[in-house]
Amino acid sequence: MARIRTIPEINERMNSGQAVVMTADEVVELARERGADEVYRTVDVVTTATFGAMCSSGALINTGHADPPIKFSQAHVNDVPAYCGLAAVDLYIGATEPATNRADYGGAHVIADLVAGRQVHLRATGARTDCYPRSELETAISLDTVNQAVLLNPRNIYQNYCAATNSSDRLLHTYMGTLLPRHGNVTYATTGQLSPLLNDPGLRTIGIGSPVYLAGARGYVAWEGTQHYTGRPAGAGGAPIGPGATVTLVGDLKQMRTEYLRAASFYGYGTSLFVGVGIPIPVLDRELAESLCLSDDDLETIILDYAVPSRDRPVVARVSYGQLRRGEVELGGKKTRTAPLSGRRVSREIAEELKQMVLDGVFPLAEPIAPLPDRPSLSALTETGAWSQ
Amino acid sequence: MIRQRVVLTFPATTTDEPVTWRLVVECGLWMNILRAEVDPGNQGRLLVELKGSEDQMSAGMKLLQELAITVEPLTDKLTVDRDLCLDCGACTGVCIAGALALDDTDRLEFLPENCILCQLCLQACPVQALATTF
Repeated sequence: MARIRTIPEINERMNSGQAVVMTADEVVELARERGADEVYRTVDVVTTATFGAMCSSGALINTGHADPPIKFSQAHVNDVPAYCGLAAVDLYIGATEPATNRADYGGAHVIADLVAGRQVHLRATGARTDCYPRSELETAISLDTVNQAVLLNPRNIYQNYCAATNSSDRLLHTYMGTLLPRHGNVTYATTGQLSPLLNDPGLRTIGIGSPVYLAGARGYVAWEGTQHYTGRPAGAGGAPIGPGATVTLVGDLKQMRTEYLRAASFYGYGTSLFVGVGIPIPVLDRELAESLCLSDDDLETIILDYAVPSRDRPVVARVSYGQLRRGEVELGGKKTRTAPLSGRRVSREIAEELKQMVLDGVFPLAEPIAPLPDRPSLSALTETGAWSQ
Repeated sequence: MIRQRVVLTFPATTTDEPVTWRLVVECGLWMNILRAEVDPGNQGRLLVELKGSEDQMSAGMKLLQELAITVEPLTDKLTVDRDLCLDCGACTGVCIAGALALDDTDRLEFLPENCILCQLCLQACPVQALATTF
């Protein structure tokens, strides 16, 4: 039976309350029991989600103008330096920027404090100019008082990521968590079969302009993300085995929810922001249905040795998310404990919420305005040494 | 047969008392020392697993009471702040004792009977939701 599979028609089914929407977990179950054909025949939209530490995240804030006006030349928010090389009262607070006076508080915490409705302390200096005569400013600000606040994350929801282990004799403190010596554990950081970009390996439905459910608010894919990469060797269904595509996400911080935007401080590494993201994927054709049915046992990643201080860390093993989720993988003939770093409980909650919104017709789907680009290679930095003419 | 993990806190005056020997030989308890901080002349602490019959256990408890050694169940020694916890699972990767695990709903659960108070989880938690008092 041929079924109508365009986004406008799926939206119409949504509006008339006829759309069938499932989470990616539910679709994997359905495919296991009844096959991918059944998924293709019966399901219109699949909701995906992830909730993990995403370092390349930050808030762009326009505080509104003071009187007399100031052009920020240096600014601190709760003692965290904010970038102000923009227009007068535009600030960018990066998630990993540490406070000047403590290591366990950073830009991520400022963002989380703002979303939690708390006041934060802005201290800024400005160069006196004819346009902006003021040289100093100190005030409390909050999400309610600032003119605009946008979450603008240059690299989010990595399409797969490598898992981590440690061959050395000492404990390593990394953004992949605490890695025990002598391959004592393996950590991994995606939600596998529930993860947005792993459900659409060919990036057919997710592109520039795609609506996303970003930390509890409506957000959009603004651009490819930094280090976006489509040249990774592919496994089942074309899914990359290791870090692949990324996207830049943007959304209104004022609408976001604290449970999906949480500040973290990794001991010995620094701060980062846990961002919860959900994306609905329309089941346009049989090929998409197949990739949506990929299970944790089909999706694979590589385990890298974080003890090697190199850009090219050696690959220790290739494993499936099914193995990783079962809590144990074999490394060098030895059983090794595995642990996730992306919150699956919260991710599932996001996928469920998004499913309900799609069912209620309040989260219409949209075609991307432009596809994400094909980037078959990543350029490494070529160092020239000290610069001289 | 009773099996329990407890933290014994010794006052300075009893650090020269062969407490573990007396618990094993006099009271007949089976004992496994999981963690110890004994500094003669100062307060000492032992995390032990005790196993024995009801009579042996009460004899042990009586002896500890006579020696003014405080006995606290391990259950209260590690706490998870549920308001902070993200259920991310980072702590489960370092919990070699298997006391921290994700349940079927991917929610973090603490199994005090496995905890050895190694405290590796404290630094592993990215939101500082875990705390111990040893």
